[in-house]
Order: sequence, then structure tokens, then C-alpha cells
Amino acid sequence: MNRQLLQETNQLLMQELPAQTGIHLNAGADEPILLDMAEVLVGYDMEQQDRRVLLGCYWLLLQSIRSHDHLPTHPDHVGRGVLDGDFLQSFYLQFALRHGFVDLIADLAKTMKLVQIRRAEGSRTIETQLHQRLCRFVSKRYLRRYKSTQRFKQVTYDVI
Amino acid sequence: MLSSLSLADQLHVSLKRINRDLERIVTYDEDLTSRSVITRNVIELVRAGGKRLRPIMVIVGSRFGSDPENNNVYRLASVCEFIHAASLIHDDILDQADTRRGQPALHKKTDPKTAVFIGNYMMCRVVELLTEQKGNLEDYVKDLTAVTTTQLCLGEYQQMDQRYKFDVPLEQYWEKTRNKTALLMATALQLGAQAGLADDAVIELLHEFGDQLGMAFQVRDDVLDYMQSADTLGKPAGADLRNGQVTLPAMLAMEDPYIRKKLLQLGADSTVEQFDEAVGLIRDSGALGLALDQSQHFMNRAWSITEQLASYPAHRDLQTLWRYFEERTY
Repeated sequence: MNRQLLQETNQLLMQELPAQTGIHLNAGADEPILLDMAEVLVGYDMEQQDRRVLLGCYWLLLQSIRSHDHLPTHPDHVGRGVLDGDFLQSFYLQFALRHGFVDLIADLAKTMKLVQIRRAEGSRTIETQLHQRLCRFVSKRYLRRYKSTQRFKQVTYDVI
Repeated sequence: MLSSLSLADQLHVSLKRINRDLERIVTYDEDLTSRSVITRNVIELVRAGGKRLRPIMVIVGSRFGSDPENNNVYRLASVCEFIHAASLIHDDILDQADTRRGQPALHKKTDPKTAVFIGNYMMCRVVELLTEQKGNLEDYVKDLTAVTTTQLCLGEYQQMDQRYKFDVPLEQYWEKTRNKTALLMATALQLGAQAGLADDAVIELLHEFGDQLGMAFQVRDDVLDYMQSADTLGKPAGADLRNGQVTLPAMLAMEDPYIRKKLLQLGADSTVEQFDEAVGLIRDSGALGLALDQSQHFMNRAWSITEQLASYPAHRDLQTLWRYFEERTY
């Protein structure tokens, strides 16, 4: 079910991403993190479309961070990586707004800023906060589908 | 008549306040230390100056409303400039520019990755500030963060994809020009007017005025790229063409089959002499004059909008802006 949600989210994003950017979303090494988020979302009572949008926002943010983290070293190729990261970051805002999640933008704004501060200062261990912040947003906005006796596992990821 | 006063002085806009507000966006950020690489570099960037056209346009736009130049207007003015400054950091990396306003470009002072994250920080800080506001500021978030930055990127993609592809339809050139230049000017005036509580019809006209002015500005910029000497420009004439970018003068010149054939033979591996010849052909073709006519067409439309708004005293400010662009030679 989580994998299906991931596929549906990919489809939604690819439908909405302008073709001229040539961006192909690929979960790649982020797949475990995205699947974890999918599991969290499935645990709450919400429309399937909301799950796709929330997971889509998370995916766009992760991929924008990755694009800027892994800039090619050759000056002739660096531009494309910069542009892809920029586009994904701004497209996240557009995507969230289009689907009625302006409150998500407000909720994640500080965390996203902190990601950039830490990156500029040479640290790369902030994604956990993004994950936690999104989980918190979901728990505030939606009710759990079932009472869980087990806590969702604490996610701590190494950055690739 | 040429004025010796700066644009801000002519329009009675306090650059001092704009610059102070710009610095405060960073210095008031409790998540940054004063020694942070971000704080230092963003403040340097702000202090390096600039024309501040976009904040000026926000303030002028607000003068068409019932609550002009309120605190929101000034906040939006500084935010607009902040977004512009952030986009310039990334532009310099994309263009591999070494300098900006006479100083080393940020990615040269630091490294490309740090510069990218500093630019990102600036964008994220703007989102944070705007989402802290209540009420209809949500609309400004939509206009500023969603439209302008996404469209700016699309303009860049279009430019990147069209590199050394000189056979592109005119519509693509207009779309790229609008995305890269005109939209931010239109949005600046629109946001100012909204924040100053102007009527919807007036907001629409101001948006169109900014759009037409931006289109005229960019076309003229593209013509100047061919007209002026290397000494004036600080780069060889026809630098756009040499970088693989086809702009209006080249597109119009290509209506001549001989020039078209010559230009379509150019590529990344062409020699300086081949580009020199192509630039010469474009210059002598009459295309520069035709492109300037097109620019004038946009300017005329912009002027007619100022006349439509003649019942507002602030229409004179639009005309001052118009003259500033009209007199601009570089």
C-alpha cells in the first residue's frame, strides 16, 4: 500500500511538472524515507488525494535539497543542478498552494530555512527535522485511523 | 528632459528605509548568528547597492490605493528586492559570471554550493516572513513565491534548452522575456497596489504597465547587446549570440535568407571570426531598428496606461518610471 501511494504520488507530480524542465522524479536513495512517510500518512484518516499531495510536497523538498547537495563540480554542468533545485523548491510552493495546503507551507517554512542555514554552514543532518515537522503537521490536522499501541519509529537517516 | 536626480529621489522614495529593511530581514533572524557566513555575505550584498527598481515599483503601485506606503507596502518592497537579490546569486552561477556590481560574485567569494544555499536561505526567509503574516498576505505569498520564482526558473530552462538553437519561433522569445524580466516588474506594481488597497481594475492596469515596461526594457537590453562597443559593455558586442542565445535582433535579421543560413551554421564550436561576421550581419541588416520599434510599441502601450490612470495623482509617478526606462541607454 505504501509503495502504491508512492507510485500514485509520482504520477501526480509528473502530471503537474512542466515538461520543459525535463525533471524526472526518482525516489532513488530517498525511497526508504518516502516509504516511511507514506506509512505515516496511511495511518491517518484523510482523503487519498491529501496523502498524495503531502507525500508529493515532501518528495519535492527532498529532491530539491538533493539537487543542490550533489552539484556537479564542472562549471559547465553546475547550472543545471542549481536550476533543478531552484525549480523544485518553488514548484513545491506552487503545488502546495494549488492543492490547498498553504498552512503546510507556513508550518514548514522555518524548518526549510534551517535546512539552508545548516547547509550553508557545512552541516547536513537536518532532514530528520523536516520529517518530524511534517509528521507533526499531519497529526495536528488529521485523526489517526486506528489506535496504535506502537509508536512510529523514530527516523534518523544518514545523508547520502 | 533628463533629470540629475536619482529615480528614488524623483519619486520621493526613501532608499535608506528600503536598505535598512533589507538588512533587518537578516539581522532580525534569530536563527542566524552575526558571524554566520549567511549574515556576513547577505549584508555585503545589500550594501553593494543596486537600483532598487522593484521595491520602488511596489511603493509606486501602493500610491494608487486608499492606504499608500503603509508598513505592509514597505515590507513587500524589501521582500521583492530580497527575492531579486537571491535570484541574482543563482543567475551568476548559471552564467558563470565572475563579478557582480564591481565585486567578486558570491560564488567566487565562497564556492558554488555555499552560494546556492545562501540564495536558498534568502528565498526561504521570505517565505517564513510572509507566512507569519495574517489575513490577505496569503495572496501575496501566492503571487510572490509561487508565480515569480517558478516563472523565473522556466525562463532559465527555456534559455538553456534554446542554447545554439537559433531557429526558434518568436512566441518562445516573448514567453522567455516575459518569464525572465517582465513578470517580476508587473508583480511588483501589482503587489504594491494590492497592499495599498487599490481597486481591482487599477491593479490589473498596473500589472499590465509593469509587463509592457519589462518587455520594452528587455528588448532594448537585447538591442544594446549588439549596438554598444566592447568598451562600454565590458564584453564583446553580440555576447548573447556568442553564448548561444538568440534574441529579437537576430530573429528579425534571420528573415533575410542569407543571414538565416549563416546563423544556423553557428554552434558552440564556431570561431570568434564566425561570430564576429554574424554580429556584423545582424548590425547591418536593419534588424536593430526594427527591434527598437517593437520596444517602442511596448513603451507606447505603457504610456497609454498612464493616461488611462490620469485621475490618480500617482499616474505622474508611473510617467517618471516610464521616462527613466525611456532614457536608459545602459
